[in-house]
Amino acid sequence: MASWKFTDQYGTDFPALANSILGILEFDISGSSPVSGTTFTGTLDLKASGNALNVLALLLGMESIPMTGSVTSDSGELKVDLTSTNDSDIKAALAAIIPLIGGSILQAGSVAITNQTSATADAEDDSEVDEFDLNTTIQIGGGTGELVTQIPMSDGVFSLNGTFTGLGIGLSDLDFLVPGSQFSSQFPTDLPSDYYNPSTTQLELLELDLSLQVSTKSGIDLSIVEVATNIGIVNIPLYPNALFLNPLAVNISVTSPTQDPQPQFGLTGTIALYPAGKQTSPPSVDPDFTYDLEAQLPTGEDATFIVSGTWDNPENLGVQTVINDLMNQAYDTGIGEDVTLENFDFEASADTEKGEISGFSVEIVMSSTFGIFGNSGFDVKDFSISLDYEK
Amino acid sequence: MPNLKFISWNLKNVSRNKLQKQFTAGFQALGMGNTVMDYIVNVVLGTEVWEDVISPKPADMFVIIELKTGGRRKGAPVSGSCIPSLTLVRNALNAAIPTNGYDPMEYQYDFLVPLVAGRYETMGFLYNTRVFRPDPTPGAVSVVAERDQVTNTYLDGRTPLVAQLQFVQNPAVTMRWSAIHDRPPQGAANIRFRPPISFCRRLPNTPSAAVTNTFFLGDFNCQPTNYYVNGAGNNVYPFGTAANLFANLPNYGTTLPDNSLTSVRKSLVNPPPDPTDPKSAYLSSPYDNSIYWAQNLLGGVETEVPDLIGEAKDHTFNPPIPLYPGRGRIVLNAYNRVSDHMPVITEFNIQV
Repeated sequence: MASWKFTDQYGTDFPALANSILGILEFDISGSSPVSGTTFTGTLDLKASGNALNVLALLLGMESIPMTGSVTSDSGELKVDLTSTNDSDIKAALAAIIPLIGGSILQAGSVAITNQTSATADAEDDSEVDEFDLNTTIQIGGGTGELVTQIPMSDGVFSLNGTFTGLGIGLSDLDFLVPGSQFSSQFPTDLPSDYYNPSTTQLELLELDLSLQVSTKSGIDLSIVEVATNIGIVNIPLYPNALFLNPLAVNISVTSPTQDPQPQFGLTGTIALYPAGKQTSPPSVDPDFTYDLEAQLPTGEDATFIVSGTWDNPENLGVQTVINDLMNQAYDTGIGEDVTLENFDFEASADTEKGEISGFSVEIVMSSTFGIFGNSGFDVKDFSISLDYEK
Repeated sequence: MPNLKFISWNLKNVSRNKLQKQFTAGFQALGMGNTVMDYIVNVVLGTEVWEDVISPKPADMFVIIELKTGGRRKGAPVSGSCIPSLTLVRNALNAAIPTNGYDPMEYQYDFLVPLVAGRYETMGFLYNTRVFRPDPTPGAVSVVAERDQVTNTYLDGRTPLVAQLQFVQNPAVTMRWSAIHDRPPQGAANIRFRPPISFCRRLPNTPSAAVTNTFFLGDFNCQPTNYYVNGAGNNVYPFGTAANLFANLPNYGTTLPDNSLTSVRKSLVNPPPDPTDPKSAYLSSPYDNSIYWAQNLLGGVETEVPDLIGEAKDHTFNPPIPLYPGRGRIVLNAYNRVSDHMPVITEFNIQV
């Protein structure tokens, strides 16, 4: 077996490759190159690759990882896409080192390398894409999802995270996240929304983050710093089929889940307005406008409930379009198409103990050429209205 | 006699998502951090990654400037990603204390729940609970969005957010941190600094200005020697006059040298625009500072801007080897994922 690095074969044509992970990784190969046509076959030598691979070697208890994949170098662009082939060993190693997701939760584990480097990038540049990832597949409830992290290459914090679509769950499906006291007991039972009923509401897991601390000072020590989830209720029709609350989500961070779980909550949501003539339930196209909500939930220490919102109009569509979308037809209001709503922000806070609004503010900004000054050469392009109420 | 270390750092619109961002695999392999969060932890704790650049002692107060929050009304409760961000930073710092050889009985962090300082923005205060504690008196307030007492209005842009804590060792002695994110300069050369200087000239009217053991720290978007020319043709300085730069804050001063650059460029400029300062290749303006009034100091106050780009090293070698200038561009690219400002570090001894 011979030792080989990507820079040995491609470093001259792609000088930026030396700054990427492929400038570090050493492979054991048979023959003079692991690349035959566009097919790569080689074994990543964790020990020979130096300090940076020490954490991975200790995490997996391996000295090498067999890999396969594709390598192309067309049109001045090198593209490398490799994955491990000993995935059952990797899965077993991960289940042992991160027992929180071991057992029946962890379905698969693998290592992947993705790189894209341009021949025009010089020796001081980065590659356009330079990733060295640890991928896991977990089963939660009736579905599966992917948690991904770039492989930790030094002692410190790293995050395994994933975002999900259509992953329906019950709260008890997440009990594995807080082994001592069960996750479902951390979830608020009383949300300020009629849309949530603990016994009947269908929930979806939108996001899951595991923050981990790794230390190799003495062998390998891996601890879970924090578990955070975003659990949502999706596609709530506010005004069928134009306006949907999608999602209304509760985000929960649980500090020290395996020792002294301390939950914290927030509430986020997005109201989406869908284009006239393309409105379905559930929505099937991108919305014209969105309105993001954020809220702080009252706790035992602070009885304040606060909600704030931000308007997003990525295509800079006019106020007329908002009205058309709401009516699901062309509806002539006489407002010019060039009058756009740039900001529509509001915020309100309420004291839930006293049952009164303690603060309220709104700001509306419209932009156009309003013609107020006729042909004088001056005009108003934007105007804003803001109102603050503070008790 | 506590030996104290404060770090203020504009982390540019920082949220939980940003904290979890990763570097390129090639940069990550150099050993300065697995994620943006991990990079920040190494700086705040002064781990061996920054040996000979940052003192090997965890900060007793870490002030985050430009922390994202929901809400835009100054003084309102924060929402959205703000508390999750602070929770993650606190948890990451605490997890890294023992693994970096520090004693958890000497360093353990918590944060104060902030208030909104400006549109969707606030500041974070993470403190060493072994040194400081909030006033345990029922109803006592530890964080205030401060107003100009003369006009009874919040300051323009982001109003100062002020934290006050007691020393655990002697609760009768308190310390304050007034976190600043001033307005940026704009306009023609002779009036360019008018927005940030106008803000600074209102700081003496905030309650904290009259309280000893107070630090104004963060991103001032100007330095004490900057000025603009007013309508009467006079030079107007942030805190005083040309003859006395702190005339309006008579008890205050800074030990950060003038022209200590803190703003980070997007790309390297070679040759450096200021031939007398090689760091001007990647740093542009002296905007961050730590301005203090402290009593019972034992010895001097040291304030510095660590050079996290020029002093970055490749830790795949033992001993680590410098990355700048040869690989300066990849270091700057990675740093831009963390922030567009350098941190400011203040250290001193105090009798309490």
